[in-house]
Amino acid sequence: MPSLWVQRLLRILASALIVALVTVVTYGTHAKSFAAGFIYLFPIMLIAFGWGFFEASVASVLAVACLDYFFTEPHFHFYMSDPQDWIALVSFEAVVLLVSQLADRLKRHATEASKQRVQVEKLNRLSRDVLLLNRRSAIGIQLVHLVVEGFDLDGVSLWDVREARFDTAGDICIPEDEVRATYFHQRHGDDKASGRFTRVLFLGSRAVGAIGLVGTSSKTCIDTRTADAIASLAAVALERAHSFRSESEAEAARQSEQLRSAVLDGLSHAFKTPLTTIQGASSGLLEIGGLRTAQEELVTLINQEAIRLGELTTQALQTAKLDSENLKVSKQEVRVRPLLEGVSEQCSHRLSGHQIRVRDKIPNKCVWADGRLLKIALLELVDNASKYADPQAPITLSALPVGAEVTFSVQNEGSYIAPDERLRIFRRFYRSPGSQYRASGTGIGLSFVKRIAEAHSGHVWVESEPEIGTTFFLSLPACTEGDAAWTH
Amino acid sequence: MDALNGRVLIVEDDSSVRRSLRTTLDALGFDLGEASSGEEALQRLRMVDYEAVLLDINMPGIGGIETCRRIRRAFTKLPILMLTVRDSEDDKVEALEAGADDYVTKPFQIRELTARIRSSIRKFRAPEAPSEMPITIGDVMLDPVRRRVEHGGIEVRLTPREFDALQFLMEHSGRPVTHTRLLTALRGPGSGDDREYLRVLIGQLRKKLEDNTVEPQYILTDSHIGYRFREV
Repeated sequence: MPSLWVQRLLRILASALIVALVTVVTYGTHAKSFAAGFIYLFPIMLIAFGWGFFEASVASVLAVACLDYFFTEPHFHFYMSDPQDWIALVSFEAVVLLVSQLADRLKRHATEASKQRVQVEKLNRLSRDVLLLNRRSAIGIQLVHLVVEGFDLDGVSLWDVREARFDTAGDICIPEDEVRATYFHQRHGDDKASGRFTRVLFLGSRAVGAIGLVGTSSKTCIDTRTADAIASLAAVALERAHSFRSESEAEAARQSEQLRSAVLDGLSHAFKTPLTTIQGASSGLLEIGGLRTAQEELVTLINQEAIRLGELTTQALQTAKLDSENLKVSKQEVRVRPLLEGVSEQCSHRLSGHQIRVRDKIPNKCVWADGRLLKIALLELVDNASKYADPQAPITLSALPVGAEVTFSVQNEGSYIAPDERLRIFRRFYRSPGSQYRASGTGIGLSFVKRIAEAHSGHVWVESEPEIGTTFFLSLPACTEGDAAWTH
Repeated sequence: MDALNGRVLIVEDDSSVRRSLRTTLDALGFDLGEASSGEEALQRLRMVDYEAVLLDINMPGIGGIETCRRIRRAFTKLPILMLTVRDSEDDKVEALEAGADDYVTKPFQIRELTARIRSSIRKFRAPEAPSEMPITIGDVMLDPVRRRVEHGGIEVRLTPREFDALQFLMEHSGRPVTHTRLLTALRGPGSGDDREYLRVLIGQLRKKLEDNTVEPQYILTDSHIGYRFREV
């Protein structure tokens, strides 16, 4: 580069001038050759320190020449007969070499340190900006722009595994397949010559994505350590965004559940007052008596339906309550056979056309449960079976001891539930496609059964075969001898 | 007037419920008074001697619970039946703690309601039995003076605590006794809510008195509320 040579030439001229100046001053003071040698050393050391080896070498040759011409015998002759002159020249050169090397190293260190300080500042800024990212919009795209701008890079590519999303910023980017390959092989890549770095984004030992950085220009100069630091910050930023999102989703779900429960609760209470009037009037009419047969028949009908509405309201209320976290389960010994017989008896007058059977071999066992809730769950299962079974098909109630549990089952013929529906039907408000045309329902009942099972540390599931029909199972912990002492 | 029926005050803010109750109970031979708020009920009670109060728990103004408390303060023996719309045990316990004798959950069947009213009035009218008199309910006989309990004519040995609990429950037969009330009767006021203790105590009593402890005939459990000794 011409400017560099001009600069060097100017420095050589300046060095020569300095040597000349020193010579004039030293000659003027009539210094001896010994003292003059030392005086020359100072400017040469300074030149070596400030401008480097080449300029200092030229200065030292000039200095030895001046020393020889002006200060050693015979004066005003370039005559290096004395070995002292050679020694002086060699020592001058040695000093020049040593000082310039030292100076060079110091300068290099200083440059390195200042470069590192700049990188640390950039990283600090990045870590601060990462905290200020807008978490409501996509994180990846914001992040790549931050990195490109913060480190003056040519391009950044980011692969977010959980979002399955690829984002880039800048002009020269590492392509998607290469960044994804970095993630899949979990191997970092460094190409310092071309300034390309790829990093897997690790959070602890878990990989959450990969990042590719390209910085070719001299002002960019990122190194492996900076690339590592950027990767760590990117991993943390992605993780923060994910946890924030899942947290807000959970909060939204909780709020909508709360609202639904509140609406359900409010409605059921609002229904109960008019129902009290209707039931009071209808049951009162029956109690007073004196009705004709047709009248009594009709009033009985009103009364029965009012009772049913009351039960539905109570069920809705209980569902609302089951959703609340503090579900009260008052567990006691519940004998299996009387329970099933009670359920069968209560159902028999409600089921239209279905015969309800309790299997003969019922174990003489007890379960540790809230009898009221358990009965509601079984009634719900029978009610569900009656809605979907073939008309007139019997519904069979049974219970079997299985290990430390008792498994209740409600079986009916004629309905079939496809495998992919078998988990969904226990979700709240879920109704199988087409079922709304077959039977009335709210989609609450089965979710209610599931909640009751869970509240008892039990579980509920369904098995279904097109030819055999559908069986719902409800499994609860059986009573042990120790529990019996706590009967109340 | 039917000997079994009596003067009942209906306290209910909803006019439809009040109307249906009034018409039905009137036709069944009860002598009725009406109030639409707690304040009005307290006024009416000062004017007429009622033999039972049907009191709605949710009312504007001072509300059912406070009304119950005030009635109990003024009329220590008057039977109070709470009408609760909420299916919540806490409300029922609160009502019982406030001095109510029993509760009926809305919506209810008239037969159930009249049975409870009649039973309350019967107790109210019965001459107060001296507390030394033996109490007999079903096959169970308790003699407070000799501190002796018999079941089907055979003596049952009870610990002093079991005896006290049984006596308290039998003296309040047919009515729910909350956990707190029973504990207070046994250990004095401020005994807290140690349900585990009661559960063990009642479990022991049932073992000694009941033929089938899983389906007790005498000492019944009112879920989340307390216990109730079978009615005479």
